[in-house]
Amino acid sequence: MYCIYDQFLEVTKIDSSKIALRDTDKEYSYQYLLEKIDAWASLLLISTRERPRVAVLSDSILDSVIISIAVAKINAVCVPTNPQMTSEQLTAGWLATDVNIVVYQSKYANKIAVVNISPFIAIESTDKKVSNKTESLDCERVQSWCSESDFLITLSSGSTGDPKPIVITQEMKALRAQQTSSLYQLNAQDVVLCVSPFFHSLGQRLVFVPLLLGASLVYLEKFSPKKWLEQVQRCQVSFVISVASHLYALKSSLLGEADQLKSLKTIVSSSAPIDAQFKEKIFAAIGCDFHEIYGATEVAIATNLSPQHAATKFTTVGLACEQVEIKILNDASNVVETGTVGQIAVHSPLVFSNYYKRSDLTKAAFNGEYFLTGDLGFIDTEGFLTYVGRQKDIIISGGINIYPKDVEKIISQHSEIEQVAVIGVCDDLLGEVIVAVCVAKFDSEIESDLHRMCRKGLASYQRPLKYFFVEALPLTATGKVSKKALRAEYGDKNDDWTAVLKMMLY
Amino acid sequence: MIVNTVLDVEQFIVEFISDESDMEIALIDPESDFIETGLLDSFAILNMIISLEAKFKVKFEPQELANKDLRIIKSLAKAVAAKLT
Repeated sequence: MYCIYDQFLEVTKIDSSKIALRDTDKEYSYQYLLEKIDAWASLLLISTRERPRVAVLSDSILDSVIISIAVAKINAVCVPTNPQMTSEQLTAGWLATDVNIVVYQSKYANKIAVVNISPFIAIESTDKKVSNKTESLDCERVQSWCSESDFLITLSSGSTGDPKPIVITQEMKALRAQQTSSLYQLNAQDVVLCVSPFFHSLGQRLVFVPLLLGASLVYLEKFSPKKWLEQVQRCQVSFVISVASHLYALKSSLLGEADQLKSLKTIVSSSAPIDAQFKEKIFAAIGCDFHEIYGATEVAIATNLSPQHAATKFTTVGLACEQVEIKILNDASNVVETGTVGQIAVHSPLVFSNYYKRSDLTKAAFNGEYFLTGDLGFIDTEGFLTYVGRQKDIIISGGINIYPKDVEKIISQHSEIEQVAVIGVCDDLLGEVIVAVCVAKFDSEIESDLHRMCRKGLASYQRPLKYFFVEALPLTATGKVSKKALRAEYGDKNDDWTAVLKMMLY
Repeated sequence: MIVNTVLDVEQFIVEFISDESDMEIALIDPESDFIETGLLDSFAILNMIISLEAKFKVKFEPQELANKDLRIIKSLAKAVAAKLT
């Protein structure tokens, strides 16, 4: 039942003085972490008579590591929480997950003060009550919670904005870490870089994978290309899973300073597809393996595109992982023919338990044993999955479905384009029209080129009507391009762009 | 000078229509009406106007395009060229 803590204890015994975590300029050994974890486990246990359900409200990865493993030790529940949420959102999220203890960083004291939950206990993460002297645990109480298997609850927001609490058990978390370790052949000698916050499932994965393996974790709280490169070089990082938007931001640095990045054995791209030319260039410059994965918090990694298939299957996100099955469904929930776009449904042994106390959402999220991802894609004759986009990101222009990724793929082939996001903007005549928001390297006078490229590479209905050039694309807290923010920003800029067509035709 | 510009614009339009319709450039008559002949669908028409504006850095007011003469390749080319002078 306590497999996360037990595994951590095992690897600590092997080399307790080994550096487990590097955060900015600070280093923490496995022994240091273990002592803190034991102390916090005792404190959390004596803080309430109930089963501790502990929210962590902190930017510090040290806090998250210690609290989450301490929680695992006492068979309690951890709810990593995004500190950027408003007090109302925090209240909603914690009420939805029955949080009864909040461990917080002092800078968030004001937010805690107005959270309207009763009763709950707030403990500052540097609280003096946490001593290194571990009191013996009340094993009977800990044992009594064995039947309750929820361990980690990730708060994802549903389409209505309601919190969607994704429950993962300890066993599942450990198995998921094992899946990543074996997929990329990681071992205790590896140095793993994490740039994702702990409240995001990628951040959790990149914490548990190295720490349950006896490897080292390097944490970068705020992403910048410069800091990323410094950390990789200074700490001799060997493994990263990076969101695609970060890799695009690193594009020129990765290629220009490849010599300093030779420690990298494997780069994995997650959250959005990376264009094939870029992958090929990185491979040639650094020589490391480049994988692309597709997955969701609910099902972990579902597919993997390994380097051996990168040359021929670069437009796909690879094949289903071991024991994972994927099917593509149409709107009537029937399996579609090979090559036809539909919703991606995943059957995985690493599936989440449920949405906490939301049996309605849990039921709606499955078709039999297959999790409905809300993503669109298709499978080719050899079983490779191509990710097309989020169902809700589809643009419908003139009644025709347009997948933003198809458009982004063409635009990103322009040598001046660093990054591009394609969205639909409401239009009186066509329902929606296509807008491309671009980050150009030096020259933003490329609109005419982009029109030409899209004319050659896309059908007329797929071509953007407008191009906007910006310094950077808005990102979500987890580093993904925020199409929601883009839609909000560009949605009201359409001052009848299709008027010319109306005039010519009608 | 303007003659050259008109020819440049005309060539751009003809190439655009050729790309869209798979019709050989030589077979596209500059005197033809690109809407009447059905060579371009509505998305392509919209796209062509926007591409012309981006390429030659001109701007059409929607009202101008209500003029049916501008459905003729040559006339549209002249209208774009006139904005450049």
